[in-house]
Amino acid sequence: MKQLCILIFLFANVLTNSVLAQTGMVKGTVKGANNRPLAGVSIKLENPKRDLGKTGDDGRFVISMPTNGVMVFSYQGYGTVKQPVTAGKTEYNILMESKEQELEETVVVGYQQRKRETLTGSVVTISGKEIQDIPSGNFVDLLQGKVAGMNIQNNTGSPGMRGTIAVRGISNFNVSGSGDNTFLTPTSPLFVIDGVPIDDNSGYEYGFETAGPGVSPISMIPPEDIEDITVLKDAQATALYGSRGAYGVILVRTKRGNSKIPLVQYQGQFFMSAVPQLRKVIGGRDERMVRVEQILMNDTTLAAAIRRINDSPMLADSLNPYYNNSTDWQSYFYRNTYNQTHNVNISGGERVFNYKVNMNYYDENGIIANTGFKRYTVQSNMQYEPNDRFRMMANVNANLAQNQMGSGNAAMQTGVGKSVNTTSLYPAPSLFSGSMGALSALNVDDQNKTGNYVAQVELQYEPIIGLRATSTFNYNYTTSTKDRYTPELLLGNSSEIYGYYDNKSKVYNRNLLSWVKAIKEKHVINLYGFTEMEISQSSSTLNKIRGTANDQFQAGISYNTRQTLGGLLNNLTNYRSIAYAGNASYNYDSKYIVDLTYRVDGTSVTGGASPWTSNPSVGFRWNFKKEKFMERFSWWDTGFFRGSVGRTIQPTGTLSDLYGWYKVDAGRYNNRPTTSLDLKNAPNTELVPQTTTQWSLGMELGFFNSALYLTYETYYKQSDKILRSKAIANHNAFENVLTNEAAMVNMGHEVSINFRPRLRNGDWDLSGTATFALNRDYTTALPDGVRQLIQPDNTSGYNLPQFFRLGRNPLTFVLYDYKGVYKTDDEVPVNPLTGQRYRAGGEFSAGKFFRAGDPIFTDINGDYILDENDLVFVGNSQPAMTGGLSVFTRYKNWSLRTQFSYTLDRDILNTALTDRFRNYDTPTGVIEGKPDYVPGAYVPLDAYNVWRQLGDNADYPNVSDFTRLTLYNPYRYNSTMFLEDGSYVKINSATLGYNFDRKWIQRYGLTSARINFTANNIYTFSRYAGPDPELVTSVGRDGSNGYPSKRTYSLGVSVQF
Amino acid sequence: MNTKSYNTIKQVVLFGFALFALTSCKKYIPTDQDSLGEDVVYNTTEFQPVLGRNTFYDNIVNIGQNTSQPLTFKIVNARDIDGQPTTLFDDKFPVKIWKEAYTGFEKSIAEIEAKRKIEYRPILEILEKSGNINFWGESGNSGFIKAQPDSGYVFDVELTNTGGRRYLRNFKLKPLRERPYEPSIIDPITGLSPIPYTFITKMSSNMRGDRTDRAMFNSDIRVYFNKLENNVAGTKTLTISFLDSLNNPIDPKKFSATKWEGLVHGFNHRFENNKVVYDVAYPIPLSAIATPYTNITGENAYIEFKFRRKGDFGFLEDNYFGLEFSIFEEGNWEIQFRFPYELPKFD
Repeated sequence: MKQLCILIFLFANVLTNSVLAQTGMVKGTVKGANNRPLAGVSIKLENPKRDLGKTGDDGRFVISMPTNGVMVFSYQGYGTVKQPVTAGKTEYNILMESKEQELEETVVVGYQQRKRETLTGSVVTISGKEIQDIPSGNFVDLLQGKVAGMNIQNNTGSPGMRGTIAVRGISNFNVSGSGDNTFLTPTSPLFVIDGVPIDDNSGYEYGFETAGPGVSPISMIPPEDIEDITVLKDAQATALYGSRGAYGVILVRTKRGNSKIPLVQYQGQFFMSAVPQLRKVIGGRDERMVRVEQILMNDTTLAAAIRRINDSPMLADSLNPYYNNSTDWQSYFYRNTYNQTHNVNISGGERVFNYKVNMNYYDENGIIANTGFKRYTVQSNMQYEPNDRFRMMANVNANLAQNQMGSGNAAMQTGVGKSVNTTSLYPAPSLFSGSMGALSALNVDDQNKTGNYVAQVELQYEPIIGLRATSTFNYNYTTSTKDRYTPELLLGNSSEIYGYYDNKSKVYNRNLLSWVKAIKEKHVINLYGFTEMEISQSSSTLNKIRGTANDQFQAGISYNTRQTLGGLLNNLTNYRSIAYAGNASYNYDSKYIVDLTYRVDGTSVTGGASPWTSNPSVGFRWNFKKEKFMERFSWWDTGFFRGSVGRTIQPTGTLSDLYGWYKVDAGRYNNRPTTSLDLKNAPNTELVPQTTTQWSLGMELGFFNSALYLTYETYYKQSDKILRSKAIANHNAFENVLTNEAAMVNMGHEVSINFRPRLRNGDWDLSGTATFALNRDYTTALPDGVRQLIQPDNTSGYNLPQFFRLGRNPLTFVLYDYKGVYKTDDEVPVNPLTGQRYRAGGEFSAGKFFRAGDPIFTDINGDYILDENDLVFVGNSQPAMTGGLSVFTRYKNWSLRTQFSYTLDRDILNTALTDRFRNYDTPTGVIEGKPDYVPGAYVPLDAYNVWRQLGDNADYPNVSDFTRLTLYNPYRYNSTMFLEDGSYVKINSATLGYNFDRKWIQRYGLTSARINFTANNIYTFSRYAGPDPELVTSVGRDGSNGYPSKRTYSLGVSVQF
Repeated sequence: MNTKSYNTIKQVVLFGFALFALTSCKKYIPTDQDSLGEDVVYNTTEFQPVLGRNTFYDNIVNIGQNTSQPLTFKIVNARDIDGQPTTLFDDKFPVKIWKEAYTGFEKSIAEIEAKRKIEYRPILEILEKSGNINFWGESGNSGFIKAQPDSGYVFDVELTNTGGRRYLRNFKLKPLRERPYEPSIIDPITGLSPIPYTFITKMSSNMRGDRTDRAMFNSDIRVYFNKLENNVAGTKTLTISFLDSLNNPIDPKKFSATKWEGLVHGFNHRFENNKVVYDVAYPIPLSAIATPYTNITGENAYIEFKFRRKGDFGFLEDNYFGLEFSIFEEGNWEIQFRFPYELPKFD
């Protein structure tokens, strides 16, 4: 009986289905504002919910559907249109009304899809289309100026590497390294790629820190595959990302399949990277004469001068072919390159099942010889959603990157920087002339490979209506190798094999349960909670083998075992974290919205009694435009206030900071190596994560049907418990201890204006975004409760310490105050006590007394001696104002997209210019006792108002007085002489595109085709005297060894089959 | 109804302004003011200058990384060792200070004096910004300044910058008795000298005694510094004379290779009564910089007397002896070189 019942039931089912399935062909056109056909409008059947298809590029559609169904047309930025199909009518012309675009969109925040209208946090979304026409090794660079409050400085031109990012100011003021190689601790935001967090701060940032290739997994995401990028700025938005969300979050969504007919899209770009303007140098005979004249004019006596000239083979032996040259060193390293990138995207499917496979090849040769970046990636995803209650999504990505860094590292090209700064009198690089630095930059065989493999599965199930369970599992594995072979000729007759290997792996799991309940239509309650777990580890090994038998043996065996090293590097990590988070959201009629979030984070690098930190946050939103009293303003579409306060954490430090290290000693006991505690850092088991507490308020206003949309935000962000090392008294066994005593605050304002005027002529289209952000950083706490701290820099030769003082920006320069040049000897102040002139400090010497032509440095403490007591604290290397403007215009099939960005009110120390002046200190090109000394290039001084003779009113002091230069050091790195305004306005890019006429290309079997011409990094307007105000380190120093930014011109083709 | 809705709009606008105002407030950020740490340290806290001359203590303050410069230094609470306040350092005395740089190339006394002027300064002075301590002992003497063996004076130093105020306490000033010239055999505590002379500083190894033909040593020449009281008042001269074992003067011209014009930074040099006399400016040397008239460091003046003699092997050799000295007290000074045993062998 039971079986029979089932049978009947099934039969009845089939019958009803077959009744429903009476289908017919329906066609028509969908048009939007200005009667323009809309392409890609999704058409769905209302009941049962089912995808029917999409409109074509001309807005036309042909679908088959039940003859009594209702078609639902939806398109981003337009109101949904429902059109019942009436029997007999097969052609429908649909007109869609455009809607307030910003609000209708949904966005995934805190792993939950939400309507923009109900967000309480600060969220900005950028479409992938905006960046896809510019070839780039790293898409982050292309976001410059697009988001108010996200400060991106593209300060390295190294292919595949990215510049620095800071969302709402820097969150950590610790610097590592010294001198020219000083770097700010990176505080890049957390990247969440298709729902999986990737921390981009550790290891990848600067190649020299880890000895590896330095390629970040972020560089492996092809811009062509990006659907959109969402930037979360405030505490409420980032709250659920908890641990590591403290520096802001960037969500990246890759493309999905969404077409019944499979689409094959090819995008290719050919681009030329052009060398920016290089510096002028004096060459050949001119250089020799400048050097000779310098000696004759400035030496103590004529006899000494002549002896000095005759003792310098470079000057005296001018007919010797070794010295009789005019070598243009820059021409050996800098070059224009031709590059290409290809991308194929295959996607298809509809809601029930869709898929995407994206293949990308990117090949860029750096503008510095022997550098480059290649990327081979496959990104794929598929989604299966048989009904509303179950969904499965899987991603598999395999990426491989290959880069060459010559003799440099990811950030710096020190070898090239040094070699370019070589006297033109020396012969061009060749094996016989001995310029080994240059040769190694050009000839070292440096191969780096980075592989990144990602697998991810997400399952979603809705057992009861309103209650939804989601589980995400992700495995991410990155491995990189570096193989460098230096031939024996370049390294003192002993070749070197440098082999580096590292691997990082991460297992990530998130289980989420959410519940939505609408009561009487007006009250919507959304509750959800999840657990999040992460296990990650990394380790790296390094082998350095010196002295292979000959240059043909580039692996394995060496005779010089004494200098051969190898082993595990001490940067290995093993990290666990687990978190429980919950969110409760209440929404009254989309008018009043309150969000409460609570997250408990436990990490393995949290010391103290408990590994847990709790991070609450609260957000509210008042859509006042929805109030009755605002209804009268028909031209005003949107208006709301929102605000939030919350706390997030960022685990800093490592296990070894908590528990200490054992190291292998240099000494032995019983002829065995011993181990002992590493006494550098005292273990501190009380270490806790850095916490960020952020208050923010925002207001958004939309007018004239979204033609003008204005966002204003303001924030106060406090980063507490910043990990910082402090020296401890020397009667302790340990040198330093790490503590969480430092803190800083960022505060600022952000404005962004979107405009999209409705143009009467439908052939024209104009839209754009202008962003503006003002940010100030303040130091608010220092270790041991002191008000001021100077972190000295005694070893680098630059003498540029870091200075911190409560209430002041944390990246101030510590410099001597430069006030011009002494015109005559009488202008030098005299110490009334001793009758002696003002002099440079240090050991007394007659040459240190200042005289005409010497720089005037202010004697702050009035003791007539220039020393470290006369330093002043000036400037700020962090920009106060950043922003940009992007404009998109379209006329018929032509489109033009331009991007501008600006950085204002920042100070830069032009150490590169200092270096140029300093090259004048050894005109003979010979330093006694330093046989390896390579004389530097002479730059023409015509461009600078340099003191030359008595009475000159000069801007720069005498460069030529070489017998005294080292005594009083006029061109010291740490003087305000070289502190310049680093503000700039930059034309980032311009893309001219043309869409081919659809009818015409259909003849060739294409559905769409587009070509574009793009110029990137076009021009920078600046008062800065150096080559590029952007090309400075994160602490604002323009060194000589940076990798210059290229200008690219590209021709792109995009076709879709 | 209408008015009410406007009120609400007003509220919205007010709310917006309130929001802006809230964040413009920097109440919770510490003010950017100077820091005054615990790390300002004097590397000398006991000063023992010599009366009768100026002593400048330079580079005596170490300022650590927690303290902002410039600082303002002030001497406060100067007192005797038993705590009685003293007004000694409130008085000002005339001292000579420099207006222009002393180079050593001045061509006349007038030119030197034009570079100096007289100012009134307290005996103990602290430089306001550097914290260096000056002891203007030029016009002080043990008549009214407590000199050792007295325990002297105690004072405190007040440090201020915009970050606050601190006191460094119990600096000691224990002046030593006058020693108007160096090298001196005067005992700094008692002011007495056991013997009235000192010795030369330097001698060439080929100097021989005239009588014994033995090699001569530094101790074979005694140096007497005499302040001539009977000379014409107001003049400032330096006289150099040589006496044999019977205190009979020797003709200075016997030291024939001596560069008399460049011997000291003095002018109008003349030979009177077998003595060499210079018009000079005091103190000698005028400043601690190396000039042709000083030793290499410039701390002391250096005079050298030279003659040439045919040596044992027929070579013409330089014979010389020299003296590094300083004279702090103005007046007419005579430096006598006495040969108590025998004269040098001149030829």
